[in-house]
Amino acid sequence: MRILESTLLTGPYDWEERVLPRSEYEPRLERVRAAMAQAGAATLAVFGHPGNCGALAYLTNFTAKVGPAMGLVPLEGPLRILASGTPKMMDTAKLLTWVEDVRPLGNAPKNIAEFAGDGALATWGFGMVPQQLYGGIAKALAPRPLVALDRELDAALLHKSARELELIRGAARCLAAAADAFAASVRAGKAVRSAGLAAERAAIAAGAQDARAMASLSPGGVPLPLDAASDERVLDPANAAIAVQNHGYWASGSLTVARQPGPAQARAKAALAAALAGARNDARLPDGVAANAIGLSLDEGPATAFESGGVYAVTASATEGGKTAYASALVAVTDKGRDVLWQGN
Amino acid sequence: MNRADRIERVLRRMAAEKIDTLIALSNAKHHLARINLAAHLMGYRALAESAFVLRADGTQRLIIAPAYDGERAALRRPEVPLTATDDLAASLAELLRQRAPGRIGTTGLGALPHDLAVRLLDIVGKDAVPFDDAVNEVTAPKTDEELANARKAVAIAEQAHEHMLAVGRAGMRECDLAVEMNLYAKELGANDNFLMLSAGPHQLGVGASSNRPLQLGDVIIAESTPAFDGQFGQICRSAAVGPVSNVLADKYALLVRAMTAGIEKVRPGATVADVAGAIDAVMTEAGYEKYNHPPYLNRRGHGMGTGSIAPGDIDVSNPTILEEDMAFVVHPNQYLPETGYLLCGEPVRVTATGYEALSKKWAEMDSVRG
Repeated sequence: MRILESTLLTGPYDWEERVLPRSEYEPRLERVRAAMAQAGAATLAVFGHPGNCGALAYLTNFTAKVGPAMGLVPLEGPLRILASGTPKMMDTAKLLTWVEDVRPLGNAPKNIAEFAGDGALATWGFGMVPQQLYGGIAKALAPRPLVALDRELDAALLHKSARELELIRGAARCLAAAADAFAASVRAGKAVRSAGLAAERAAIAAGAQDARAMASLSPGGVPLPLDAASDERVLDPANAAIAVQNHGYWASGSLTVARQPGPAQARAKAALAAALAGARNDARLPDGVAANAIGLSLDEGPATAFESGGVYAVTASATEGGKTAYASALVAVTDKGRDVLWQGN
Repeated sequence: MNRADRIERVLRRMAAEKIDTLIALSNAKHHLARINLAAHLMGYRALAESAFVLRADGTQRLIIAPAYDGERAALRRPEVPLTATDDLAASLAELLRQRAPGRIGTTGLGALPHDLAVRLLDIVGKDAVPFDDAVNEVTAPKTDEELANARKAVAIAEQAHEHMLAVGRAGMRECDLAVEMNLYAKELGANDNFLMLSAGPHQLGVGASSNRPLQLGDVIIAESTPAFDGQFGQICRSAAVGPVSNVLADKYALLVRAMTAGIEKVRPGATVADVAGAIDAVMTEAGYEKYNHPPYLNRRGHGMGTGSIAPGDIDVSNPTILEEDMAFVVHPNQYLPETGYLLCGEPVRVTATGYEALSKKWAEMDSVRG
């Protein structure tokens, strides 16, 4: 699911040790430092921005509320975060993380080069770095190369700890509240923009940090951003895609609300049921079903097969007469099978 | 001015610079204070990285991603030919293969994510001319549609501020107040909100909302900036938690006087520096010259996106000449030693002879329940 990026994040993102203690971050840093050592890198720079801060939050809990941010991880010693904003905004930025050294992003290439010293720089998430900034960093580091470790480190994100799973379960509860509110609004005759707002308000009331609802702009259409006042339309069937965040962890799902459920809805539900019945380690997804790993990012990558330890947003769709119906679920795949954290419709 | 007039201005500049094809690239970030000229020319907020291609003969095409967003793009801009794709680079390459592009100008390439930018650099070639400054310069005035949306956005901001005064109270977390204001603004029709809101007894600046609970004696400062159909409109406000002290009321009145002096300079032909200078003069006369500079303030206002942020920062160093239908916020926002950082700001449009205030009620020192 892709959502329109907000210009500024406002929810409760301050680091709370009772929720995610330092002990949760230590093994993560160990894994990352092992990968750095193997790549011969003395420093890792990890990038995040308001639309996707998963890797940076994984290591530091820092959410880039205001704009782009970088985390700098040495092989040994304390981390540093370079955050968007003026020096006066750093006190507030420090609340977002357990990392004590938080400074303005400022002249990022110079700051990163100074922190990295003479060693090679490993990178994570640099595919998202704005080209102009990337060029500046590469130039400041030259002749040392930038060594991308995305493949190795993205794999680490996939496997959720027990605590992470609990937070995603919390996100799933918020998602359930949002989906129920959307369905109730549509059934009460409300237009999709109002129904989407009801969903977002319900998720926030249930404790979500952030909530985004999209809906179809035509009967049975693809859920899309509701970014125009003219999107207030009464639709049957109405489709929604909803994403909610709880302590940094996302849950997402799609649903169809129809006055008279049709064959497309039945087919979508059947496909989802088949996918869930077979959801276990190494199981491949059946036709008509798509899934992506989910966690600190709304989309941690598409999945063609399930992997034990992962959490997946699974969506089945079917189209009849030009109208598409969706059925989806949030599933944690375990060594023993699967745990359905949320299921729509 | 309408969107066709804006495109016409760009075409004239392309002709002057001998550019045959303009490729305006959007990074899908639609921000109050960052330039996205592709969105400015498209009149459309892309969900993923997208492009607007304009040929010297006036031919236009939107290439938007992901493909499933095609329905929304066609709904928003039915008059512009559209390619909906899951691979922007491949679709752009195909379009340029179909008809030779000639000399290419680009905007937005430096703001694209590195992985995609590398592919696009291969396609547009090393000789492509960065055309950001030229397009930015000729598209500064807002269209009638954008101005109408700015008025609606500002009206929402004013209502959201009244809502804040009604629901804000000691004990409530900053972030919960901010989220409530965002939800309320959306319910009034906003599609986004740049809401920088923080509180404290003596703040050094405004920051993003934290989990800190409001306390009696705090001052809430808020840059409230809803977007309506993509056009942002900002007001800046301050409110005491509990009674407003005399010193707070006096110093806030001073800032309002300074802001008014700045706004009264707004007219076509005046410079941005004139506006900022008038604000500084009032503060200097009141004995605060030292505080007319960073770190006590950032700027005296700014343009309002999405797309173009002309006329740039309201600052004494900005020589930009004001044109009719530019729209921006004038905000003296600054630190004063007696009160800490305070926010007060109003958005204006440059008219043929002066200015139009986009807000109905100008800032005054407010309060919420202590």
